[in-house]
Amino acid sequence: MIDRHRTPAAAAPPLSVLVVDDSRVMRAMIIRTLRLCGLPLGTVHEAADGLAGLGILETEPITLALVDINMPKLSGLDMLARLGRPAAGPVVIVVSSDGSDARASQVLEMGHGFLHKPFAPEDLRDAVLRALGIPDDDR
Amino acid sequence: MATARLTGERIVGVGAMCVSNAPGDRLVAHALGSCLGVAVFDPVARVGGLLHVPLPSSVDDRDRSRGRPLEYVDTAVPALFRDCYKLGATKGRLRVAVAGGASAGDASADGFQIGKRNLIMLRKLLWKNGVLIHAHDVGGERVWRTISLDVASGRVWLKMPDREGEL
Amino acid sequence: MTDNAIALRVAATLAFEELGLLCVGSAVDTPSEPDALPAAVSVAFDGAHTGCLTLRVSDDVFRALAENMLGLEGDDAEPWRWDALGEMANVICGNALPYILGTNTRLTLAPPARGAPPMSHAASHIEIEVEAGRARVLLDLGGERRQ
Repeated sequence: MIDRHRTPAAAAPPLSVLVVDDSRVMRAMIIRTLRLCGLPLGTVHEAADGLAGLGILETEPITLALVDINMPKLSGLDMLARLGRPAAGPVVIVVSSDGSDARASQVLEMGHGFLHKPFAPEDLRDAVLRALGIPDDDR
Repeated sequence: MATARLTGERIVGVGAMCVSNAPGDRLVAHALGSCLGVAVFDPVARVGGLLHVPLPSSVDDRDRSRGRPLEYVDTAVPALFRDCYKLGATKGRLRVAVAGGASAGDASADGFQIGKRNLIMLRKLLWKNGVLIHAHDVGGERVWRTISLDVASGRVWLKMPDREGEL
Repeated sequence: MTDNAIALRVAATLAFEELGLLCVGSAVDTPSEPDALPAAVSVAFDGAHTGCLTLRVSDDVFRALAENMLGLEGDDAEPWRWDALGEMANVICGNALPYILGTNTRLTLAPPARGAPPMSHAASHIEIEVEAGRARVLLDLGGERRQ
């Protein structure tokens, strides 16, 4: 249905976002999609490896993190393992080209969302809305 | 072919589009195979449009495409958006629904891959212009779809031989 | 076409069409000369198996990838071209390997590197039409690592 025009999500506090991926072009694609989703975006942080991502997660009040797996210095999953499970931790979506069942299961067991590359921007939007618990018509 | 009117139902033929803000109108594109039906609706301006476009790129077909902008995705979709803007719609509010883009068979039977090319061209165009698709039912082999947009509500309906429902 | 080549073709088609927004046509029997595919990146992988995947593309594909992935025009996309090609190679590698090595195989992919390392004669390969250009994917499997 495309007739609703309610905006409760726009009234919510802005999302503080972290995008961790060693591909600059992938980070740009993810951020562009988030901006097109109609979600209230606050600060958007970027990191090109897990170690830099961990530093931002430990110092900034991140509410949504999109995290690649294979990265230099520290992998995305090792980064999330080191972060542990803080009480007010971010909603995490792992975005990876790794198509193995083993990897997808590992991510889901850690309690995170999983989005497989390649994805259409609409797939990312839907994954983010689902993870944040926002119905599609509420943006 | 232009649009035909029948008690509020406006049939959008191949290579045509219809844009309306009349609450009684229902815009319909029948029997989409590899063609795309692109429906847009602005819920604030209450403006809707429907495009029935058969081919992907005017650039690949320069001689034939001259004077036929609605037959090519790359020229027809901008025309659809422009006509909606003329009735008060804005890009940020327009919600896009898409149906069609089926293949004519497996790869050996569908050398031109028109359905797939139409979809890729549409996605490229929308992404470049910062527009996401809100609902779609596309692809498949030898699938025939009918899409309709109710201008009063913005609801988009999809009808296929084996199923029917809101998109 | 071997099973490995089919997996490479499926993964490459998915990546070029979904991520690169470029339409993939037929597989090509006669490989292009290296000069016709001047842009190359490689992704090495390690874990239960070691090896390397190389992606080579014609200049028009190289240019179009960054433009399409970011929705940019012409020169605005120039600084992104190598990164875009690297991400394509990464995605092809991540999607093809589970089909070739098994979906329960865990591997670590290295960051994409410019250039094409020497391949063994046993490497699997596939060349495909991508819009008006070409792309070639080569996979060199170094073998199973003993635990």
